[in-house]
Amino acid sequence: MTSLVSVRDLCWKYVGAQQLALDHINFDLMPGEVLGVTGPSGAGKTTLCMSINGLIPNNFHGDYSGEVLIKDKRTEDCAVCDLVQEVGLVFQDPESQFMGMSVEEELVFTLENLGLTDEDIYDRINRAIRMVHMEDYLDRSPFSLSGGQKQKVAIASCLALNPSVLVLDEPTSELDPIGTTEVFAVLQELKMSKEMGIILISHATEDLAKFCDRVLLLSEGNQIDLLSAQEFFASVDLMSQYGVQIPQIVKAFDMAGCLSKQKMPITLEQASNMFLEVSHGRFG
Amino acid sequence: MGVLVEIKDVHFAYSEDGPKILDGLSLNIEEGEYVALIGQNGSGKTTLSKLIGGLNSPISGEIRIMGESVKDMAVQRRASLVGYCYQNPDHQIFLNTVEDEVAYGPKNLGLSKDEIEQRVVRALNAVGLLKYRKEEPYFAGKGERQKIAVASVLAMQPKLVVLDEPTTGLDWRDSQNMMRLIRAIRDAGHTIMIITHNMRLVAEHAQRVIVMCNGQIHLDGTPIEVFQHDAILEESFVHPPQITQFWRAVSKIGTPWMEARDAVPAIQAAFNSNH
Repeated sequence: MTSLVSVRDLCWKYVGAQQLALDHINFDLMPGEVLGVTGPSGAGKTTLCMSINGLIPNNFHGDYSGEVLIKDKRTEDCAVCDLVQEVGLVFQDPESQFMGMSVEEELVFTLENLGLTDEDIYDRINRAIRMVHMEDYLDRSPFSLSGGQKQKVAIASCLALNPSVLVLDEPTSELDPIGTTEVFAVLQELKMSKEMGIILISHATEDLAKFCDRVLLLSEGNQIDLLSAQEFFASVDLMSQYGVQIPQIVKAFDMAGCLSKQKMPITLEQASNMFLEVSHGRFG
Repeated sequence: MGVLVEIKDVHFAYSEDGPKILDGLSLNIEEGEYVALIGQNGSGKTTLSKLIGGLNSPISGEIRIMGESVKDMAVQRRASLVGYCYQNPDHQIFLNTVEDEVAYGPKNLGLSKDEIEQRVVRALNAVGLLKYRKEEPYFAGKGERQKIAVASVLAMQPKLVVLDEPTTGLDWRDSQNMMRLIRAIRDAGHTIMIITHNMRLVAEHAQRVIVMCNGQIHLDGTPIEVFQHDAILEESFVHPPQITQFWRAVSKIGTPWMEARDAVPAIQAAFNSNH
């Protein structure tokens, strides 16, 4: 299977900066895969997002080396209008990307700019809005929606472009628990459909542990590790060292010291199932 | 220790025919308490905290601080009783140096130069930013700017410090630092009210938890008391910390687990007896 995204020895330094914002980053993203990216503030997570959709180096000034390939094409050699159709980017604050007076206008905007026919535009909008379960909100102002709904509109406006990769930069950090649940429900459906690759940047490790296949840990622009979700979230020392929040379940099982890293539950569901099985004497 | 804030049957809406944001809410906060206000967006948490700070006035009902009605209080008096830290520090910061920012409130109280200097030094010391006093407030990350906003409030030496989502947008290490700072402010004699969605921080730090839903108080008690009420929490759209959810799923016996270490004996008992 070919990678959707290949990042090869990527280095980037912003103009005037002393240090590299990204220092030799390497990873691949396969179709249907969810890659979590985490690390302390200033790690380079947002810079990485902007490198995946080509904003870096095409729209920023700085020193760039290495390469990012989207379906085997170098982002440096691609036009922005081609890249937006391959890589959808969802920001922390959905309002920062709204410009339409209604949800429908919001969704139409980019599609119109691609010069699509009306029929194609409305087919895509209807499909995208259904994917986030917001069919009844097309006439509403995006600013009148709840936080979770706003973020779902932002996701729909990316989905309308039929991207191969969806990059989400802390999409739930400003949402309340209901909003977070709504957004993760949509992401879970996208994951299950296996149609695209997802890169999710977040500090919310208890959510990442449930949702990601692999985790990339960045710190001060360096790639510290790239591990399976199981290996990463069972690595308590690694998480402590880099100031990553250890999921409470992992912390409790680590303190109890009864299970190896390979068997350590990393989600609430895994922990509850294992505990109940053991209590009934069937585990071991 | 006496009652610091008394809220009696308060009603509030942002416009005459608009929806009721607070609907007959009554509440007392004792001096020295560490209170967490929780609930979904739109439940009335921020509105309530703004009424306490006198930034808005109730349609009916009354709010008293140290026995004085907020409505009749001069701005200076109010500002020295209640300090309000906005969720986004950039909504609060507007001056060119850290020290000017922190000195702004005390200057407006008409204090002497010496007194202002003392307060600035003490407040910046408390948040660990004294060495940056001459810097631009935008010199560093959000965690630092959040601390500048907290220092500006501390320089007013208020009885009650209200912090609206003080850890939003911070990474875990900065969040922990902010919570340690809030604990230290409380230990220095201030009463604390935080508004947050982070239940793990609530369980680990707050002494009293108030759950709001539709402009009313649904639960009020210690974290252990509050996080036991599955049905009411569900109705109020509040998810307890992961470890408390684990307790619900596997034990439900004795006291709910609030922190990871609370679950350790049960895990050891279960796994060691089977290995």
